[in-house]
Amino acid sequence: MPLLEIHDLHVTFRTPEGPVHAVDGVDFTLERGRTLALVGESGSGKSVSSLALMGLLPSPPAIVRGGPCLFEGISLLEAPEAERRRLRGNRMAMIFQDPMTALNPFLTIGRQLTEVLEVHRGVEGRPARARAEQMLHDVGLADPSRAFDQYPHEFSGGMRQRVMIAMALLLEPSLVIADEPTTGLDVTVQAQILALLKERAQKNEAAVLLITHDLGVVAGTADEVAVMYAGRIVEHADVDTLFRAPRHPYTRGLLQSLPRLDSTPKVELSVIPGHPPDPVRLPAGCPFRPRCRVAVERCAHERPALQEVAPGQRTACFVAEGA
Amino acid sequence: MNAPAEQLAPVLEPAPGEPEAAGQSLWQDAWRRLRKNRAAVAAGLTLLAIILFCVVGPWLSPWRFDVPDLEYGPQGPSLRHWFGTDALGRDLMVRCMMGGRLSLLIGLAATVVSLSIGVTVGAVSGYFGGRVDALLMRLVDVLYTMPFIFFAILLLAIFGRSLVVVFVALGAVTWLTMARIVRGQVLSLRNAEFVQAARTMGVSHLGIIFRHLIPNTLGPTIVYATLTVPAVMLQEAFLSFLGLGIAAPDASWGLLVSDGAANMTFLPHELIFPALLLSITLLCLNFLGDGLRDALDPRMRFD
Repeated sequence: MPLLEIHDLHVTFRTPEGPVHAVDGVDFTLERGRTLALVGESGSGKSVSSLALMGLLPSPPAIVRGGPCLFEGISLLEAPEAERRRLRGNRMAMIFQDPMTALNPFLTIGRQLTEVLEVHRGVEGRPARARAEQMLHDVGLADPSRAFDQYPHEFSGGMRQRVMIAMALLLEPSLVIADEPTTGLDVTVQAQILALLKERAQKNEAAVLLITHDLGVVAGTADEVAVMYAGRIVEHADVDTLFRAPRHPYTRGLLQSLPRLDSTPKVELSVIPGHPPDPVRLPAGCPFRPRCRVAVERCAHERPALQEVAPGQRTACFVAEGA
Repeated sequence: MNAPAEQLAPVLEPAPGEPEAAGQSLWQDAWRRLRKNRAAVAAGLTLLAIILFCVVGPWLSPWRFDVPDLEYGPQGPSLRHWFGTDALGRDLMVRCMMGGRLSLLIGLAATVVSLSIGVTVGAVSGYFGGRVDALLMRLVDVLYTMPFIFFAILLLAIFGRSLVVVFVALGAVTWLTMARIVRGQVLSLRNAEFVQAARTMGVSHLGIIFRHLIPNTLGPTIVYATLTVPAVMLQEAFLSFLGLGIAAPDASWGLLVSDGAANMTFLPHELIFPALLLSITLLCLNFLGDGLRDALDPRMRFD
């Protein structure tokens, strides 16, 4: 049984302008110990999907619906809030984008770590401190007993992200959701943090759901990639296949728009024309059609479903299917 | 991208010569920081001296606050009466001590009420938002529209004149502003990432409110609380002036000041002493509040 099975997940926000379909039927499965990257531009629904899985979207305005969404055999959408709270931090944890704001400025690092132990395990005092210091050591902080008593503002961004990773992995969750974990960091620190995340997750055999818009991060870290566009997964494949033989025109466009070291200087970067569609007024048919260079007649009124186009590669595109 | 394990070398080097941080909780840390603030320490000691003076003083003085010294009559300070006597010939020092007991008690009680009710209501309201917020804030609005004097007169008329009623009347109005201040603070913090991070860790709503949000609102809360004490003392004086609060021969600083003001042309000391005590107390409270605000903010630590 896979660790996480998501079927037909929908998230709709009620707004004065009408319902916004932020996530519009997402399917994927994630095995223990694997890393899946959700890639897409801002507003493609990748962060909303992860928050829906954590059960952190405020309702109203959010409405989360869908087929069975199973995590360790528990139906996430049907479980009562108390049970979901037991899962959070314990079985599934999250690492946030901005380590500068994700730690409480008024609590010491140690207090924020031991709080997790206290909430889920009832461990307090010396044993909690020992466990937290061990974890701080594991994420590469040199003087854990000193760091334990320090406040977040005394740490640099990279160190804070290490603390966030320590916090997320403290109870050895089986799923770690990392929402753009390296966006606010220097490139060198980025590499360290990603390596650390991967190493610690592998040690626990935890699955990682990596949310990012940085294809470089994806290539170096993920096992599988799911590309999202307008609230749907448009292409899902293992990382090598996706970079070597992308089938969806959107994925191709994304990869072509990356600047390359070997490209001729002063040649203009290739871009995908147009903008992502307004989520309140999605076009009929394929949402990518207005920007697509290979669109055919059928794309205008029928929405392509995710189909297997090659072994281990699923694409939602009529043209790719025919090819 | 796949950095080898050596690259994960420890990054936090201990700064040489930095004393080991011994503190654990916010309060222990705050206490250490407060002790370094000279103005706050001086203010705290002065306040302690005034409290001691008021609480212990009356037992040591040969004079009673409600019995006039008939041989002496109303006169200025002397060795017999250090602060002089009031218009009826009662020892002013003992009256100031007794007045201080009452004023400090009222100030403290109203502040405790304002802190406990105001902070809780404000934090709950701001955190949950929506209907809870609308309901609680409309309640605050309704209570706000009630004129304080009218409310106090009403209570005193129904329950008779007593100190408890004065406490209730003052407490009922002072928590309103506190609730609004805390709500505003919490509203701006509620969507902070660390709150969401705490939720992803499975912390309950109450845990978030009391462990994460309220400590973050302490700065403005403490400052407002130190402003509440003098405001309440003055309101009590106002009530007493109208004949609704404390009745003679009992005394409070507010009452003594208003009596003194009436006789200031021929017995100026009757105004000066209680006014001086009141002012020094208020000044000390402000310094102490300022020091506390800085001490409770971990980011001010190495300033």
